[in-house]
Amino acid sequence: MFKVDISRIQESLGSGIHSKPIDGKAVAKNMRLQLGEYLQRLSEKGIRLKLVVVIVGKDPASEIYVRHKIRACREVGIESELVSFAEDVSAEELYAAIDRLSADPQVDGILVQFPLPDHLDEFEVVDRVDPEKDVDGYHAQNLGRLIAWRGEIEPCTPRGIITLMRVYGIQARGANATVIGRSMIVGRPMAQMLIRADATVTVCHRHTKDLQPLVENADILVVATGVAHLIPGEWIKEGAAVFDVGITRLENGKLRGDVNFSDCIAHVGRITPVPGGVGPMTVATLLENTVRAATLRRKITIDPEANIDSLGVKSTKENMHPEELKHIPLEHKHIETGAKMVPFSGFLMPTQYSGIKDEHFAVRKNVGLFDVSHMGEVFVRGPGALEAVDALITNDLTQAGIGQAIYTAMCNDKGGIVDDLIVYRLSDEEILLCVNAGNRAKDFEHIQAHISNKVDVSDEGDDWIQLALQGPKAEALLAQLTSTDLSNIKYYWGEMGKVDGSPALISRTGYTGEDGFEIYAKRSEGEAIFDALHRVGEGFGLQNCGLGCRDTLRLEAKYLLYGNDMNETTNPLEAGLSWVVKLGKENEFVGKKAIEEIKKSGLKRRLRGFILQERGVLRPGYSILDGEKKIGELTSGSFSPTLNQSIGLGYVEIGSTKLKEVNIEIRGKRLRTAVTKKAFYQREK
Amino acid sequence: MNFPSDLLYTKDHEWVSLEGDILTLGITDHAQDALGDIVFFESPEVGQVIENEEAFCVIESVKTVSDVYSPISGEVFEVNEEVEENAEIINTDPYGKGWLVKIKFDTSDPLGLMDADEYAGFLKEG
Repeated sequence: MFKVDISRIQESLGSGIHSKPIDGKAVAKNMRLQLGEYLQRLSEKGIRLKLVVVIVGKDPASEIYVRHKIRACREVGIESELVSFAEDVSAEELYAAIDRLSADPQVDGILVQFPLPDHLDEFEVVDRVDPEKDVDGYHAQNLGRLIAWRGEIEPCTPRGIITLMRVYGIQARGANATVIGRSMIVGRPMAQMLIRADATVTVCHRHTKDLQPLVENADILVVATGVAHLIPGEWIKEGAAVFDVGITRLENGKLRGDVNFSDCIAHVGRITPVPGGVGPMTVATLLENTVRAATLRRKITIDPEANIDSLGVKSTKENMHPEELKHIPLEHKHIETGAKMVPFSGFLMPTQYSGIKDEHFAVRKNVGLFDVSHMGEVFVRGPGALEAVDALITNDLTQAGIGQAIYTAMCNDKGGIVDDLIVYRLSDEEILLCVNAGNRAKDFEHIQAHISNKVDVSDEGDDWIQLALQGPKAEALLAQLTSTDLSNIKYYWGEMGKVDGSPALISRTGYTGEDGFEIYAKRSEGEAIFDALHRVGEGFGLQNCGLGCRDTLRLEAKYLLYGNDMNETTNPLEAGLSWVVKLGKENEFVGKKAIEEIKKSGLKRRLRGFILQERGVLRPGYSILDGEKKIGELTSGSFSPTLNQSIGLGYVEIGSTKLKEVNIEIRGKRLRTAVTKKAFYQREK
Repeated sequence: MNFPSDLLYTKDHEWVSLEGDILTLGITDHAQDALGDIVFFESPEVGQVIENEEAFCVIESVKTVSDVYSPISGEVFEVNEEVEENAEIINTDPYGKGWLVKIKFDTSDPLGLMDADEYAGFLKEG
């Protein structure tokens, strides 16, 4: 499923992201680049997309728009075709053509160019189009889904504005938004999208009595009237974000927006210029809609992030084109400090700074700082959020207190693990799910497919940074920067607080086997928090830590790694996760029946830990032998700096789980290996 | 990064020094840096006959496994037991105490090796 990578757009804007005029042209350009790359990958698999534009009559403006759209298609690699009809075409003839296009499996998108001549009913014509091919998002089904907050294909202009808001970090939550104009193309869907984005929305139109106070009240203003300079600059609130959709050509040939740009540029927060603001986004979003429509209808499962490799820091390399990579907000900080960067789960991530062992011991003895902003944050909000999430996970969220976190598996209906995750009960109506980076897209789809439709699910992974401060000195260090009483935060509890003045969720969690905290904050706060931790951290021996030591640390603590030690063919019982499977809990959950079946019929294999007794290093994929007989394979393996021995995890078949010693075959040699059920490392408490 | 001028280099990021019919082989500073913390050297047997370009021993760092290739056909004459015991030496002194093996070879065989400048250029090309 194609999804625009917002952080990549932000990256491409560079310092331009701070400028007041919103550069819709540049944002659209990066969107088209991303679409082009994705379409290229589809075409390598023999998949070609096609958009058909239907035009009736000879309206010169329409002809220009249509030419523009067709050219945009060609540039990103979407095939396009123009189907023209005479002004006086009968409804029957037009419908017959639309029916043919709707039925044609080669056609992915159908766009009927408005306006239509008077004898044709625009709404009826659009409703004739297969809703799965309605790339304008005007079909009754698509508009209905929009109101239900289940929109798949949404009208281009308002959706483009939402994209701009995401790119420029304009917060809709709690903001007063005023939409001027109530057309089906812009105003009405725009209002719906703003409501969904948690804004308080006022919609104005020709019958609105007093426009000025409604404009003055707006933190976000969307104007789509087509009346040049309808809104004087002085009406606009200090710091407001203005989206000017209108475009009027004056007699002297100049283009004018609905808002007086030059009179408000001094005091607005952000504003889209005319031209070069909203316009280019409409066309880019049309292309995005075409790709989304095609991937949905044809069930194309190729992700934009190719080669997601959960093996990560091991010898396997991700052969990814650098331009396909996503970027965590603090990437430049890591590069500046000399980190080795590697592609991991689609992100360019620091794998090590001073060296894996050095960083490993920094965490065991003092304190280390990991940037794990690649992790995904999914929020479920609304009445019933608690129960809705509880029905997706194996652990019992209803037993957690407000502010408590639980570790859990999320399973498919066969009992296979879709992901392992941490779930925070922030309140009964707001639940945070922290998911694995490589599973973000998959998890979001799984959640949306299975969750109650009464709650709002939003993937906010791109909006958050996550830092893990781990080690025995983590608490003392963090206490220097926050007034939150950290000693009050118990293991697997979290609290909203401030880190050096920046709002953050502070939770006593981690993936290292040490005491420590994970800090979640908005991406805009990331750099300030990172710098503050380092400023104070010097006195505590704080070191930057990469994914390399994260792997050795988690393995010593016997924490499983998704993609290695479990995947969708693993059930939580064999993975040793029965402690987070609550079959007796009140809510039914996805996979429960299958897991009960598995329990009844007995496990086939179980996870065990391995400690190599000879020199060498265990790696995933190595065979586990009992005498001559292969009884399983390693799923993780590395060198334990703490034990100064190699350790690993793997599954052994059920008849062999009691063995204390096995052989592991490394390059044809069989090496003595001890089997353990315990963690390799346990910190002293 | 350091590439001593009195050594020769292979495309597999090994260094070689020659003394009569004995070739000493180790891995370069670039290789040890790329591997990270080295924790294991799986040595060949003394007397083992090896072919040109054969992967005849293995170095493992915390994060990865790497084969070491022979630049010449010959016979393993000596292995560095100190490195077998303590593979970290490869990180700390790749051109000195971190040597890996000595190979006895036929001096009439041609050696296709790079000098230090050529190796530095080879690295730049990526």
